[in-house]
Amino acid sequence: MARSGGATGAGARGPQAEERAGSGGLFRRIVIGVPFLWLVLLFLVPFLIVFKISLSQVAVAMPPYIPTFGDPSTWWSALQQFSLDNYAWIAGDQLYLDAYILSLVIAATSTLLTLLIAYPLAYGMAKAPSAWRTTLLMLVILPFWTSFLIRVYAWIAILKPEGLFNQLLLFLGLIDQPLVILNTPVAIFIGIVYSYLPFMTLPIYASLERMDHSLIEAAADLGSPPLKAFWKITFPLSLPGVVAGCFLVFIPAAGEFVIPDLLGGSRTLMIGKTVWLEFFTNRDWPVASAVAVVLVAILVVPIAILQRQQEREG
Amino acid sequence: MKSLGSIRRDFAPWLDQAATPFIRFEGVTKRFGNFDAVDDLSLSIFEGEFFALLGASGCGKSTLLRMLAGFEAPTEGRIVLDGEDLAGIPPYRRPVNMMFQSYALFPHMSVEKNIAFGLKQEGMARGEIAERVDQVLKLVKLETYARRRPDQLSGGQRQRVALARSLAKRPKVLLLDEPLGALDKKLREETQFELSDLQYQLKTTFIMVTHDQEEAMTMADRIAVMDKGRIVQVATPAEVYEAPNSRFVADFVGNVNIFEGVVRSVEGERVTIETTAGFDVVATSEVPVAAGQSVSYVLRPEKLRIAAEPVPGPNVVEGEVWDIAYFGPVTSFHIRLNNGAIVKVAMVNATRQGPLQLTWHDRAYVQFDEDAGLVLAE
Amino acid sequence: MGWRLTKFNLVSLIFGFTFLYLPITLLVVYSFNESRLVTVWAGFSTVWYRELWHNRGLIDAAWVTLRLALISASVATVLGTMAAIALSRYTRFRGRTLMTGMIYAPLVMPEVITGLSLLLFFVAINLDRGFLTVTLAHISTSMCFVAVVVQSRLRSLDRSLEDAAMDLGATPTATLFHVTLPLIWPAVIAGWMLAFTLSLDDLVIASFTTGPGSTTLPMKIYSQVRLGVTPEINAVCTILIAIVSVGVVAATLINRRRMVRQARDERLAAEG
Repeated sequence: MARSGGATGAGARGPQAEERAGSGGLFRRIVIGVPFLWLVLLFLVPFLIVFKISLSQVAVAMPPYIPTFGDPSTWWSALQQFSLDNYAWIAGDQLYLDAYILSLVIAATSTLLTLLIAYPLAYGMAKAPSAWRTTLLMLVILPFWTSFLIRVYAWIAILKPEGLFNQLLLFLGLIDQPLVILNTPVAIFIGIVYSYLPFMTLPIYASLERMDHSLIEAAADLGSPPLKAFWKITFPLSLPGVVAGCFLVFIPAAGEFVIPDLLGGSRTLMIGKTVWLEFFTNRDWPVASAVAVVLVAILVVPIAILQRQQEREG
Repeated sequence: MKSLGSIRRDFAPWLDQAATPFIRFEGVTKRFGNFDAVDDLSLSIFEGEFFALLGASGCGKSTLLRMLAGFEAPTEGRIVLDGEDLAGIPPYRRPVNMMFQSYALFPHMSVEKNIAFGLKQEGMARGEIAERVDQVLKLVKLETYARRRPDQLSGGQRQRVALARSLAKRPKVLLLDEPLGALDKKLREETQFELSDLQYQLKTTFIMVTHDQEEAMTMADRIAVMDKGRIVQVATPAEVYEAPNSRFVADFVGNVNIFEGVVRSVEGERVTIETTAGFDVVATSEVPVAAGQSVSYVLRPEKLRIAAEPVPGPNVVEGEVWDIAYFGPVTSFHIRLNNGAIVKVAMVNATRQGPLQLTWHDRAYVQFDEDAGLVLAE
Repeated sequence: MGWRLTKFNLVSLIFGFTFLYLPITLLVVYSFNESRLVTVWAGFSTVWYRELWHNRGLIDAAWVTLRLALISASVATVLGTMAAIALSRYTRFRGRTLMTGMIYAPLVMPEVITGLSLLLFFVAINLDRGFLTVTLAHISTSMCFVAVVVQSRLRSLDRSLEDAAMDLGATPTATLFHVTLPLIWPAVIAGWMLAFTLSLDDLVIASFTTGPGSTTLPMKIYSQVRLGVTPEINAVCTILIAIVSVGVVAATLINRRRMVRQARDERLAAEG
């Protein structure tokens, strides 16, 4: 809304014209209504069902939980069967707690590692000659278009004991026994950093590129050496990009399934995999739902922060 | 009324008590939240007028224009055009067209398609559209550019396409939002005269929004000076400059000296004012004032004379040359009085040598006639 | 800035891009390896590509995935564009905040949760899992991405263009079709491409929501990858990478040609 400066009122324009438009009424209702109903039906309602099932009991039936709401006359008694047993079960079992903590720790660590790699990359891109920038930007985005699964898969061949990385180290004589990297948290870090690098690089690049270069010149002119100018001027101004990037990596990483499953082995049990196992292997849909609800409850705060920040930026 | 600025006006329907206004704003208020963008404003504009809304950004002039176009609805009050209350009529059914500040040319359409757009919406026959497009293109002298797209045009050409597009539907009123704002100075000066001529030729009512007083004064029949959502003065350009009705208008339009003071004596039209700048002013007042009343004395810099030697008579002020700025046609002097007040004087350089020779820190004597300035009782 | 910092920049760029591209490059290279052992180079061969041709399971899965991606991307583009218009042009309606939340939340929601919730929903309404359910699931997630892409374009579009159309007598609907949509078209196409690749790529949501007979390519790859790295999978991946790269490079080239044309136009304008 910066365009109008608000004071001329142009910022708050328009709606009257729309609302008065009689002929646009039906069309307008369709444009709003169809996607709205779709999202309610296929995003909101499913999530409420997850919540409902998290309060149910497991049963040997199809669907494998009770109560179900078939005959309206039994609804009241069905409602009385709801309980918090699944949540108590999760809280009581160290396995789940460990999985949550491990997920958050791994997500936080890999977010930090991604930042450490993405920031210099974004900085290098922003400082590159402007003729290069479009190309560099495309080079960062290009791998993002190729399959996520393929990118994770590529690392297996590199990291496994007889893989290319170990072969290289053996060849160079740096080690005399292959390192065990695959099926450890290190492999998960590599996988997450690799897969989410563009999500961190792009917002940081955007905030660095937008920055007025004369600010740095002004700092230098006022006697600030380059490193100090970076730390006092560039870095604070790029913070919105850093924050957005961190959340864009942290949130999905915390619920990540494919990377820990393929690179982390069976011993590192993150929460995304726990949901998967409860659902597909144990067929305990109520517990799987409860685990999912708790994960969403944990992620609600960072999601809300990210959304507010995006709105302010947009 | 006395002639002002060496101009005699033949077209002045606003002076005719019997004339019916073409457009009337009646007690119009527009509120955005707690902010009154337009505040209980009433205004009449006559058919065939070239009317300018002049004010700083945020004064409500654009909101007023957008309400007339139908993009905003008044919170209170009503707008009447040619006898019809515009309330509830959406922008696409109003007989007014707008030339946008950014020109808003559709980038995916050629010049002729842009111009034909509004005619197509009307459902006009194809042949008739082509004829009308040719006609307006000729009007703005762009006949050979019909098939170009907007990004293949220069800034000045784009401005003319925007003008042609808004004129193509032959609106009852043409609204111009900062029409020359995006042009460079030289082109702006040429276009000002072209636009005036075009309006004179078409006899269409033009309403223009601008923050540029020179633009408003060059083109408009009348100017409404706006501040904080209200109209401060509506008058011809010469009246706004030579007879501002308030300190705000005097200060907003052009360069000015304003002296605060108290009336000491009144003899008919002739009053003596004791100013806070430390000298007395003898002036003819067009408004009745009484002794002891606080007034402002408004004096344009070009209406003062400067001398290196003392001169006799009233309205002579002595001071020190504090600053000199050479503008080409005029040289501007800042004379600092003994009590620190500054008097601005502009001397026309009628000869290449200029009328006198002064340098910084010289003593100087400033003199003005009794009817040079204006007494404002506020 | 000095030489040291420039050198630092160069090193960051080289390191960053090596990290991004080396794994993919190795994967492609080893798809042409003669040996079944992925880590031992035994000479150039296209044997694994010929093998692929006879793998019915993979070809069926690829066909399912392609149909799924085409249908879901197209529907998601329509719905997402509508949602974007609703959010940025019809600014006053009840439930606008809810809609904003429902557009943004799925973007960061862990896929496991989205997949689980959709599956439970399909079970609750008694809809058999299969091609239809996975298509519905993909539309729901992709439309949010499309909505965000299109909305950001709508936000940067000069509002006075739409005002001008209405001022010239176009109704809001006519304005949308004659002015707004033609101008945001590149963003709509970009949204479609994004939705297409998201669908092509998805493993988790498809695993939850699909049924027998509608196994997608990523699911097939996943189940084979769990058994170990094979040159055959490398070959499949290489083909997928090639398809996507050609698409992206083509899009970039088209874009560049438009920019060149624009530069030429501007020169023309300067000459008058």
